[in-house]
Amino acid sequence: MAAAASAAACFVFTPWAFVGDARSGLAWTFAGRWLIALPILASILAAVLARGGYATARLRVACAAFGLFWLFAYGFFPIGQPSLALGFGAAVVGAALVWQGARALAAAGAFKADRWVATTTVSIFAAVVLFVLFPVVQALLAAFFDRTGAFDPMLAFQRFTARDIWATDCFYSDRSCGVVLNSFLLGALAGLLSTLLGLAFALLAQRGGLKNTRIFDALSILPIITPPFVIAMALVVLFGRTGVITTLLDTYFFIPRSRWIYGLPGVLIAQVLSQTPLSYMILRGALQGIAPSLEEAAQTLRASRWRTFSTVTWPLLRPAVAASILLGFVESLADFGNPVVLGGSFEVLSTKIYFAVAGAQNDPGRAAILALILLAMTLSAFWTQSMWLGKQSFVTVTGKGDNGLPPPLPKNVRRAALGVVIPWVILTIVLYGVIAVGGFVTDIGRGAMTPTFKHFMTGFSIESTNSGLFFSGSAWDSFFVTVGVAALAAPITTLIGILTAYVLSRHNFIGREAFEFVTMLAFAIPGTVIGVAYIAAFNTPPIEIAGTGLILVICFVFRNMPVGVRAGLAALSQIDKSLDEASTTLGAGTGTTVWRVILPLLKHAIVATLVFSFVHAMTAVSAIVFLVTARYNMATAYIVNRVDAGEYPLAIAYSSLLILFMLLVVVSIQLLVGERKLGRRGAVASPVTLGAR
Amino acid sequence: MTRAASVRFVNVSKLYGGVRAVNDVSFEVEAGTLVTLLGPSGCGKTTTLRLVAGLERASSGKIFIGDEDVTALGAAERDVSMVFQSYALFPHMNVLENVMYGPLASGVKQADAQILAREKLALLGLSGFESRLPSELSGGQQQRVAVARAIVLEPRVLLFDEPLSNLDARLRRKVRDEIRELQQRLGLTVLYVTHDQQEALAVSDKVIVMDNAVIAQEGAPEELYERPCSRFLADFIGESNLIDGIFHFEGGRTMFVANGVSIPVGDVRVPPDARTIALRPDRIRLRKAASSLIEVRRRVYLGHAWEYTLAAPFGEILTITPIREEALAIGQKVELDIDAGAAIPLMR
Ligand SMILES: Nc1ncnc2c1ncn2[C@@H]1O[C@H](COP(=O)(O)OP(=O)(O)O)[C@@H](O)[C@H]1O
Ligand SMILES: [Mg+2]
Repeated sequence: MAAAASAAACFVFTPWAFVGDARSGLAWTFAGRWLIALPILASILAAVLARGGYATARLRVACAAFGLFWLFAYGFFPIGQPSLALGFGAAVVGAALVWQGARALAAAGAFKADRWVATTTVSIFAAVVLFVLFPVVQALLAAFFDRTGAFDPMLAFQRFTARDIWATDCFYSDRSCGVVLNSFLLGALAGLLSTLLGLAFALLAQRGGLKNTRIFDALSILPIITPPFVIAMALVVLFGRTGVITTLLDTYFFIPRSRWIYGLPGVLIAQVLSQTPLSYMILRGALQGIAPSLEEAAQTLRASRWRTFSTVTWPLLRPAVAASILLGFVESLADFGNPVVLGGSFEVLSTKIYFAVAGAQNDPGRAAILALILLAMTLSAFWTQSMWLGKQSFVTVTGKGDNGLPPPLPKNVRRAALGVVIPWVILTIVLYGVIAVGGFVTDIGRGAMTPTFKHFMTGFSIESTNSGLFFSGSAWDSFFVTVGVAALAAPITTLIGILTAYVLSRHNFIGREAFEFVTMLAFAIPGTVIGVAYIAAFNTPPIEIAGTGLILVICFVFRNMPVGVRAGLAALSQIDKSLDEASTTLGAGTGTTVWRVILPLLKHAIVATLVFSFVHAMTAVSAIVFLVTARYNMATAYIVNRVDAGEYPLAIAYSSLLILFMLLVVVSIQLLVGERKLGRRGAVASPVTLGAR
Repeated sequence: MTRAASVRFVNVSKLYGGVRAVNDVSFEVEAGTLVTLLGPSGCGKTTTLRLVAGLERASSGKIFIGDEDVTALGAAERDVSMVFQSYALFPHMNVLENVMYGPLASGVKQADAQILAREKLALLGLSGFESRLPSELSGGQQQRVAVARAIVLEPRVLLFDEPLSNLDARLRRKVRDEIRELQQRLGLTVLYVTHDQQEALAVSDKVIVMDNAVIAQEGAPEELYERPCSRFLADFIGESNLIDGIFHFEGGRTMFVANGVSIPVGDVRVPPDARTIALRPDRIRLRKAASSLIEVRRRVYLGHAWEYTLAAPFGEILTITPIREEALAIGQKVELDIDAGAAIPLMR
């Protein structure tokens, strides 16, 4: 009743369209678009029928479904009229219909007749369909249409079989390979190398007999707060043609300058650098999960140290190793920031998609084919992982058991591990050193090391004028937009993610699998694909939000939502179901139970999700490079543009400021909440959740 | 308490997928009585209890609380409270907040809820613990908080799911008696689940024994112990020696013949097709008899009694003899004397 009433009020009084014409729905109705009124009539009819209770429940579901269908159908095909972008009035009517439909479903007996669960689930489902499924499907369909919008499967076939996608020339000539092979090669190498390194780190930290492994943990939090291309920038500064180290080698060792860093080697190093800490966390967790008593048992059976390692420890570790390799592969496929800075003529899928849309070509059909291929590769990786992990669950079976002492590493393994870890740690420290120093000298990329504040002045100067402070630096706009968008998206992401986790872990209903699938879909879709999908789907009515700040917020909410779902699911699995049931038998409805029992117990998962979605929103590149505009620019996009223009010092200065800002946010929230382990042990730090970048 | 109501199950079944967890069960718990659901693990006790609470919906059949048909009502709408096996105390709320939760959830004002809660905490001897967190209490105290939380709304029916299983042996007996005392003092209707037959016999007005999703037998504790109606029950409640054979009437005396051994079973009413008897170990007396086919195989000292394992042609028999009687040597041949009415003829 209340839903229909507010929908009716908005229909009569508030603007129906998103921009421009401020006429209300009612005004449009009398301006000749009487079909626009059908959804609100459906809503009112459903409200009237609500008196019938169970008897009219199915009818009401049909009413709401028709209303929603009509809202969008008329939005897409406004018979004989120019189309309107749906705005506030339409949004309220749509929301009311979703609400009424959900309640009617519950009244009809679905969702175990629980209205709260019905409303929550249906609302989230509708939002995910609208903002994930719809744009992705629509964008991918573009592969089958030509520029005039005519269906053309032959063209799709030509696009699909294009030489620059599948070529294998690089094996037998000096021409380059196709993007698929490039991406696959890069992904496989990145996955393997980062896992090897992560394994070395984990073994040393857990078994290496080192007194202090804090530095490992400190290094492992860095990639979370580092925008993905920052490492690439630092690499250019060190190893580029005029780079610091290149110059040293040239001057003292007569090694000629070259551009080797641009291409596969550079991108690979950058990706391995940002992926290794994640592998480290996965593998260290797995090592901690292996009960030392198992290894002690092997030793009492007269197995040598090496034999124990190779017959007990390693087999138990293998599933985590596989998971880490696959995650590295997927992350590498999704990465856009590093290839765009360091790729040179080495093209991968994510950059190719970007240039198919953003470059001179502007060919959505080509972008769609590439996106389809990228999506297929990512999904196969996830599928492989779930098949593999489904069969190998013994690591979790032996879960806890911290009795006994883990045996130290065999000597040669330890030596080998130290041999790779020490140079790697030094490289990491030097790279972050470059970021820290680079902003304060004239041009670190050319070896000009005169101290200066020039770059910070350009980007971040503040003038005191008569009318108060004036943020005159060129970077302020993007900084404020970034912080604003991230701060707005984080709570929404958390709310939707945690509620989804609650519904998934505690309630069983018809369609649960479908619900789980669509909510996790955003997780598997690479950011570049989402970006392409959003500009394709939301650039025209009925939903025309491209170019606004709203699309940025929505993009982050649905990109990062799976982080919240994972965190929530992990935390909920620790909370016994009898707590919910106790609350219910004491007369509390589902809403009260969630509010008073579940959410307080999920405090840490909630805070962690808030922090992570905030940080992810600030560091993301791949999806938003498509969505930013001059008015709504984001920090990362701004920096990538500076790099493109060769303004490395300003880019570095900005990056260091961003990292510092996020470090402050993370640390102060940690202090505030008193959660020391945030970001390491917390559910959110689990490997898979972090993959959502 | 006058709000106590009866519970009635009429042909209730509960299916999980294809598994019948509760199969066509009918019973009644009279208002103000304590009834236990007893049975081996996995027989459907918890499911039955959850059906009463409304945490599960019956697949078929009807459930009444008092005169009201509650089959279609959810847990929040039924006037039933439950003490969970794990206690399910809210870990983020202190004792007082835990107990106040029910009243607040059903719209009682903060101040009144606090009065109600303090009253029940006092009743359970928990005054002074109001501001402790559940994690700061002992197992027994947690259990009492769970009970206080469950009775604060004066529910029409109170449910316990294995309330003693998380307590140590010594405490179990004390808490068991406290629960019974509280139930009788407040006149509560209580349905109590346990797999421990001693516990069931000790606290109940009526015991309902479940086996394999159906009710095997129900009745007062002594009725179940004295007259079990099946092999399963004879063995499950107390210990029994189960012997197969046939009844035989000999000069006005009833004998039970198993593998050529005649056992005088005294005066019992024998159903026509009875083929088995159950003998309680403590109702068998042993008499030395050199010509007997039965001999002592093992002897165990129990402190208050001797436990003998006898070898007979039809199998082994366990007996318990008071310690004050003379100990029998291993290999001693004995005859059995059965107390009048102590042999229980069984059909299945
Ligand atoms: N949620 C459930 N899903 C499927 N089967 C269940 C579920 N709960 C109980 N069961 C099955 O129902 C039977 C009875 O379970 P339960 O009532 O818990 O037994 P009890 O409490 O007597 O040990 C068992 O076989 C159990 O496996
Ligand atoms: Mg049970």
